[in-house]
Amino acid sequence: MGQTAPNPVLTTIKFFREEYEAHILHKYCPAKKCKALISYEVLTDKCKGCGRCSKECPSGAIAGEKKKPFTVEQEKCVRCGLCINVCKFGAVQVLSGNGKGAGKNV
Amino acid sequence: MKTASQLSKHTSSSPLAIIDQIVRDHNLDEGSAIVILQQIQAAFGYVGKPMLERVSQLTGIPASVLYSIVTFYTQFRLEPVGENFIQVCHGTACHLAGAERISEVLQQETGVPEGKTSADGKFTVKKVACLGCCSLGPVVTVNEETFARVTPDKARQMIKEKRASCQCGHSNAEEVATID
Amino acid sequence: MINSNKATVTVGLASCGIAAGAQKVYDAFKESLEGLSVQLDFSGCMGMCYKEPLVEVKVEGQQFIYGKVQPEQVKRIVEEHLQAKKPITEWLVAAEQLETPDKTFLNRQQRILLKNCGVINPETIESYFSVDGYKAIKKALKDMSPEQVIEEIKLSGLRGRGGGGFPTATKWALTRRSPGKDKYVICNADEGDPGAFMDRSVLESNPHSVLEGMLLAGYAMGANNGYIYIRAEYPLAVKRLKLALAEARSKGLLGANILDSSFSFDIQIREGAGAFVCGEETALIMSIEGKRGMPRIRPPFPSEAGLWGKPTSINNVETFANVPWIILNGANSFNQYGTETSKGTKVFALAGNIARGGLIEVPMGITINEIVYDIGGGLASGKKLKAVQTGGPSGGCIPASLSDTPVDYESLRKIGAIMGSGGMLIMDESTCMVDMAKFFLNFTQEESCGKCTFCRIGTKRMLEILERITQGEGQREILNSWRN
Repeated sequence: MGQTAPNPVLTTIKFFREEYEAHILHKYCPAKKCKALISYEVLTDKCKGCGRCSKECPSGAIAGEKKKPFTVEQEKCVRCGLCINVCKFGAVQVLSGNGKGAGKNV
Repeated sequence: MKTASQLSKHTSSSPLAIIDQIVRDHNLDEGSAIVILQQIQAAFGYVGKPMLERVSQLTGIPASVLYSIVTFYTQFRLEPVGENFIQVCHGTACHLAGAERISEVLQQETGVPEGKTSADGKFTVKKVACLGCCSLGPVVTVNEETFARVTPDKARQMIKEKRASCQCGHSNAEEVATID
Repeated sequence: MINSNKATVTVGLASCGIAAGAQKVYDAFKESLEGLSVQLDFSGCMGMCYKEPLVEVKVEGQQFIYGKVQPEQVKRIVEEHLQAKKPITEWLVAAEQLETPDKTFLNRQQRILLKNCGVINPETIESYFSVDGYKAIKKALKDMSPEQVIEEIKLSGLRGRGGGGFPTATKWALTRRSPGKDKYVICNADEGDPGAFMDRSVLESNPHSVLEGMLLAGYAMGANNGYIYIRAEYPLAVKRLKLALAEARSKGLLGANILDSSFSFDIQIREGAGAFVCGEETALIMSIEGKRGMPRIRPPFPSEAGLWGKPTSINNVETFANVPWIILNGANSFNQYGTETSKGTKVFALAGNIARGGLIEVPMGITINEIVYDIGGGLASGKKLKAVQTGGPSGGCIPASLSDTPVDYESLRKIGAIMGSGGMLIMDESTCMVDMAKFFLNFTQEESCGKCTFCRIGTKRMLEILERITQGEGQREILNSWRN
C-alpha cells in the first residue's frame, strides 16, 4: 500500500499541475471546493431579501432586513454551502482567489 | 444485523455464559480469535475489556493480543453504540456527491462528534469507508435501514423522526411536539 | 422451470435496489398479484443502478423493464400491462421493440460474467442450474484432467481481476506444483476500494458462479479447502453466499466425493472485520488465521507458503466467476474479446458524476470515452468531463484529454493509472483535484497498517502537505520534489 499510496497525488500533479499552482501561488481553488480558499457572498442585485438563507444558516452568519439584500459575515461563515441550496433566486455566489476565503480557520 | 436475534437466543444466560458458549463453539478451530470476537460483538453490540479478559482466560490467547486485534479492525467497538447506529458512507462516489456535508449535518443535529455516542444513548454517528451503493450516493445507513441519495434536508428529517420514535425510555413528548 | 406462457414479474433485489426501495415494490406486487396467474420472483442486480428499483415484466415471452418503480405505480402496471396487456411506455427503460437511450447502456456492453446477474434468482440453486450452472465442474470432473483445466485457463489469457493482473493459470500452476497434500483456495471478496461494488453485485446476484469457479480452481490445484473472505459491510452478500453454500452442499456439489468423483472440496466463509489492507493477499491470510492483517514480505509467495504455511492460491471474486464460463465455452470464445495482452471482458462500477451509473461489463480495449459517453450517457451534471479515476486509492486520475485511452492493463499503467479492481469514478469540472488527492491520501493514511515506515509516516506527511495546499499555505517547491 505504501508503494501505491502516492499514485493519486502523482497523477493529479502530472495532469493537473496548474490546479496545484493555483492553490499554492494564487490561493485560488478553481473548482471552489477548498473551504479555506472560498467565500460565500450575497449578490445585492439578485437578493430579494426573503431571509430564507439567514433562517437556514447553521452558524448564524447571514443577517439583513427583510426585503433588502442580506450579507454574509465572513468570520462566522463555516462554508457549508447551505445558503446556495436554499436560495430560490440564485443570489448566493462562491468566490475564490483575490484574497477571498478565511484561511485555515474554517 | 444479528444483534437482536442473537440476544434473544441468549437472553436466558448470563453474559459470561454467552461468552463461554461462543468460545467453546470455536475453540477447536485454528485461528478463530476474530470469529469469536465478531460473535461476541454480535451478541452484545460491542467488545468490552472484561469480555476480552474472559476470552483470554478461556483460550489462552493473551488479552494484549486480543486487544491488538480489536483496535486494528474498524468493525470492533470497545464501547456500546447508541440505539440508532448511523453510518455515513465516505466512499469516493459519496465524497463527490457531498458526504462531508451530510456528516456535518448529522453531527449538528445529533450533537455527537464523529465516532461517538450521544449522552442519552440515542445516536452514534460514524463514517465508513464504502457501503458499495456508489450510484446512489450519498448513502447513510441507520441500523439495518439504508437511505440513498441523502440530502442535508433529508438527513435532518431522518434524525428528527428517529428521535421521535426512540425506544430508549426517555421522555420524547417535547420533541414530538416540535416536529409537527 | 418457469412456464414460458405464464407472465412473470421479477424485481431486482440487490443492495442498491433495496436501498432505492425495491423491497417495498416487491411487497406491493405480492399484494396486487394475489389471485392472478402471474409468477412473482426476484433477482439480483440488473446493472442499471441509476434506474433502481427495476422491475422486469415478461408477458407472452416478451421482456419489458420498468425503471424507478415506486410502490404506488405497481397497481397500474398490474392492471394495464399484466391484465390488459398494454405496456406503460412512459415508464419503460427497455423493451425488445422499443428504442430507448437506456438500451445503448445495455447494447454497448459485452456481458459474459454478468449475463445471468439480474436474471436468475440468487437464492435458489435451481435457478442457477437453469442457466447451465455447475455444468462446467461436471465437464471438468468427467472429461478433463486438472492440468487440462489449467491449460484451458492459460489459453483464455485470464488475468487477475482484483487489480494486479497476474495470469490466473500461472498462479494455479505454481500452487499445483508446490509439494504437500493440504492446499487452499481463497476467494478475495474483501472489496476495499471505495467506489467499487462489482464483487458485491456478483455475490448478491449470482453467488453460485463464484462457488463453481472455486470448485474448478480447487480441482485444478489439488486443493480440498476453500475460504471466502468477505467484507462484513456486505450483509446481503454474506447471507446469499451462506444460502448458496448450504444448497450446494445438499446437492452434493460441495463436500466429499463431489458428483461421485474422487474430488472433495468444501468452502468456509470468513467475514472480514474491516481493514483495507486485508485486500493484500498476505495480510488477508493473516486475517483468516485470526491475527492482525499485516502484509509480510514476499517471497515466499502464498503459492508456496500461504494459509497455515500451506500452498494457497488467492483470486478475486470476478476472476472466479469467469472460470466456469471459460471451461464451458472454451478458451477461444473468451479470448476473442479484448486486446493482445488483456483478454476477455472487465466489469466496472461506473459511478460519480455520470448520467447512467451502474454495473457494466465491457470488452478489454474499449476506450474511456466509449464507456463515459456511449454507455454512461455522459455526465449527470451536463458539465464538461474533467477526469476519470480508476483503481481506487492505489490508482490514478486520467484527465479528459487522455480519455481516448483504451482500457487494458498496459495502457492504463503507461499513463500512471491502474486497472484496479474496477471502480470507475467520473468527475466533472466542479471537482477539485487537490481535494481528490487529499481524499485518497486521507483514506490510505487511515488504513495504513503501520508496519512499514514509508507508508506509516510517508502517507501522514504527504497528507499534511496537501492539507497545507488546500489551506492556501502550500509551497511551490513541493511540486518539483514529488516525482515518480
